[in-house]
Amino acid sequence: MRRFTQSANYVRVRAALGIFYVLLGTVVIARTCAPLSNLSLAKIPPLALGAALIGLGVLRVRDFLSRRNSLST
Amino acid sequence: MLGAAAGASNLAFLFAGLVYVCIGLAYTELAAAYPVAGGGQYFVFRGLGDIFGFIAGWAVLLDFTIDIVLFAWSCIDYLSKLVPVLSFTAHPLTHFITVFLVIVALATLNIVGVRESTAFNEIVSGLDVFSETAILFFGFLFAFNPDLLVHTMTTSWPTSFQLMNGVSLAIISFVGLESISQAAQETQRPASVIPRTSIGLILTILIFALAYSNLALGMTPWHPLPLTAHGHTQTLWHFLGNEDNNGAAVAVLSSLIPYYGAIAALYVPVLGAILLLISSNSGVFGSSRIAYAMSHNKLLPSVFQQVHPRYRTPAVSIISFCGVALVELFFAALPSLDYNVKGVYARLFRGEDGITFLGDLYAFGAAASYSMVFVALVALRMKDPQSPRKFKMPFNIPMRFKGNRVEFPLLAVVGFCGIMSILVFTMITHEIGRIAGPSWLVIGVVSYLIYRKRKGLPVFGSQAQDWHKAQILILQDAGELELMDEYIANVKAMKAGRSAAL
Repeated sequence: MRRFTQSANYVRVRAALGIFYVLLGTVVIARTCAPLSNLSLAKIPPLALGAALIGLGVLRVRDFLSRRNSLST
Repeated sequence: MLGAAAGASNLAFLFAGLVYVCIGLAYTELAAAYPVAGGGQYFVFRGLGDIFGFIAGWAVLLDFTIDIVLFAWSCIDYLSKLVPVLSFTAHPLTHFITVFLVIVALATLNIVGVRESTAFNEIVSGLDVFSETAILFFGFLFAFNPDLLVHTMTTSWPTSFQLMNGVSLAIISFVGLESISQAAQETQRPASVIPRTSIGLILTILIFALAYSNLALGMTPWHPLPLTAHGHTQTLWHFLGNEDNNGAAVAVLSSLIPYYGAIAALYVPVLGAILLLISSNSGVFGSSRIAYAMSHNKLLPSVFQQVHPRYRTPAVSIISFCGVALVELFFAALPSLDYNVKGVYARLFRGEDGITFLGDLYAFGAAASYSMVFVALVALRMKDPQSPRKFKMPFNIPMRFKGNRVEFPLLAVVGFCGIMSILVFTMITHEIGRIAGPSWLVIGVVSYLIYRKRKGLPVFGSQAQDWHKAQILILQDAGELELMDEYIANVKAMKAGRSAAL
């Protein structure tokens, strides 16, 4: 297991999850914004959730990109 | 928490979450700059001196003892979803005995020196990430209804008192930072690794807290919810926040997600119980580790440094703090075991018992220790600008302090105000937190003063420390040799600058 968490595949899995988080965050924001056109207090928490999901996704993908060259299969 | 903040639960989580982000960034900066066991307690000790270091460590110790009970309690709550005989509401005595035995077993395993394997922890953590992501995915895809969210928030909006209560309880969900900074000493190249890990953790915990609270308010359940005891229909957040479900809300919520709920109902209780058992165990060794660090710095008697002659484990610390945890368990469970006591709690503590009792105390300890960490961060930025910080909290104001160029952390002030407001909310809304929390601190401070006086150590002042030498050793032990060289060069440059000025 330890070998897996230090492997290139682990970083790739995290990057794939990162892309998934970005997509999910976008879906959450879109689903919240579409029916609720006016700016209301109720919108803030789901929008914050969507932003946090996108932030985590970007972090994972950026981590993968910065380590891409040093990864060995 | 859902029962307290009702239709504003997601906003309560958001407020507590934003404060948590500030706390997380502060811990990340400090743990990367000072990678030693002791976490928040060490940062306060170094930044503000011995007595404040003790108070922060004592508050963290309170939280670790509550971690032991709270997580063991929730672990049994999760299992009760599969084994109803363990249910707290239906069989309080069985529940109490099981939690008691879990704590005793964890203490024994830690004394004997049996630790769960790293591989096991990693597998369970990996499964948990996939499971929670699946809950999030299926929940928001198949069951989330933004119109229902607005409707729930409008019709179930809490009173100001309930909202303050909810915010103070929400901080309980945001955990893990102390454990990361505790582990900093065992991490190689912590200055690079800690920021990456911490920021991922902060965002992950924020995401799940926000996701569950939004789903609880805006999700259409797969199956109709059972009627209340009085035959009325109930909303999802009310159902999740009642006494039967509040200890295992994620398991109940996931079982109500369309399609996925059928599988989730089978495995989430088991996975949740395993994770909570691991978390309870982290409370056992976290408390013994903090006690060891405090004893090493002469903030606690040397007995807390003693190891078992045969097993080489800190048996005294483990027995002491698991003993405190058992006392907390006793007080939390007592009203459900004795009807007369329930009346006393209703009169004195507005009926707060069980998991709410533990949550109150945890919120007090967390708010007290986190607020001191923010002050310590500001103090260390002023007193120790030479230490290289590979990660800094954003939004800083450059200024000069005692002839040195320093950066004043604006976000630490924002975070301090946030956590202080949570501390005030805790004191206003929680009878237990208001009485038992400060009592814990008073008992600790009096014992500390007696101990320091007896040992001939400065009672209110601090012992003389060679922090320069200590910092070089810290960086050397952590394998941060480049940072060590940078630190030595910074110190030399600062001394040269002072000589030139004279």
